[in-house]
Amino acid sequence: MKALLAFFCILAGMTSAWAAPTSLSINVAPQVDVPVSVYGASKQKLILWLPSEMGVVNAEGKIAAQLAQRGFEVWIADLFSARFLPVVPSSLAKIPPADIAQVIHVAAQHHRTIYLLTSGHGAGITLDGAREWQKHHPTHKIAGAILFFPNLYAKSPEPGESPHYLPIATQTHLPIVILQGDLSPWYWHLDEMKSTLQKGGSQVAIKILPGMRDRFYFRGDANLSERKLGSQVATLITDGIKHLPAKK
Amino acid sequence: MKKFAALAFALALTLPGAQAAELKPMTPRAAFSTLALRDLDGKVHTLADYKGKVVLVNFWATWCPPCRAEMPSIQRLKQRMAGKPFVVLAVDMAESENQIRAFLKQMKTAKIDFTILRDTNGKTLKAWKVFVFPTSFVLDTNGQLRYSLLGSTDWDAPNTVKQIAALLPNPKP
Repeated sequence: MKALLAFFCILAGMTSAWAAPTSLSINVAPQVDVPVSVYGASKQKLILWLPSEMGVVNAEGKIAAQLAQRGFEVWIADLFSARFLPVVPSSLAKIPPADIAQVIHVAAQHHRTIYLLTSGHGAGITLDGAREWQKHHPTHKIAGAILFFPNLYAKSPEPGESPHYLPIATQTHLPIVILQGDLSPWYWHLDEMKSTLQKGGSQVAIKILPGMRDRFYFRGDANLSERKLGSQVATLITDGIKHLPAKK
Repeated sequence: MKKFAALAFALALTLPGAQAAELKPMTPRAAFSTLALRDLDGKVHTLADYKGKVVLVNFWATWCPPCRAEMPSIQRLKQRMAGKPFVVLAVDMAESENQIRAFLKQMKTAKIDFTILRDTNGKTLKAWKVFVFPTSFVLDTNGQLRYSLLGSTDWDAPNTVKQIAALLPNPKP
């Protein structure tokens, strides 16, 4: 992992946060380069946005640009493209945590504070990658993870059966903020998810989004209130960062 | 390609029911104890009220597209089972009576008249360990859990009707 780092920054004439993102390519393994879209420029605060099972969605670029205007640098890493994986849920299991660890490694060389951001099933691989990086960097720089409607179940729980969480759910040691709409079955199981995450030493804060369904900011069938809050996701993220529990 | 895959995935999430999913047999066991819920008129229903009947318990919400999609087929199943000891209990998740009534009005062509219960605080959902909407359970005439289904289906598809009818005292649909 160490010797394979290649760091190419292609300047695209970015003059403002609203300009097109610049591109970055991070070599994570032999012949595996993760394309990263970079919004804004800050040596201080970086948000590393990792994809869910839906891949990188268009709405996220716009949100990243808004975050850039607020002083964050945002990297959207397309982990699917790096390994030519189709954007389907099963592809997530084919993304090695080391890929994410390497992206974090590169990010940590250039930024003082790193926040991880993802949604849905992306929570599992994101936390796996964070742990992989933390193993080799005990004095870690990851300030926390912001998880939209996270799914940390090993598989869809069978009706009437207790859920099986991914191993990483009890192995993660990070400050975490969960942003969860209340129009979701998962809303009713948040306490259990929180206590599961706490088993690994994570400090977990939960922010409920009233009247929201999962994937509200990129749903094709988003209703009026979802579209309204969907236009304020950058604020939800910055508020989430403020509410990240303090490290112990 | 990526957009197509995302669209296909979104459709798979929102339009199941195009192909009827099969009910999954459960090891027969007593139903989860907690089900004492009010219907839209305030009447309390418990499973004990339906002893001797096959019961379809369906967890749903009006904001859930697959739940909405399967509602007409649940009504058709009820109609196919008319005169037989079969009942539907559709447990709505924490929505107001007005929201539910407005939904039923929208669905008037489906003429939904099965019992709708309200789980106002999620206690029943937690007790029945429901993690996906819709989720359904089928109980036999002794109140034993016999089938479950994660997601939606076409409830009056021949195989589904056959599975449920087999639980009736006189197993003919």
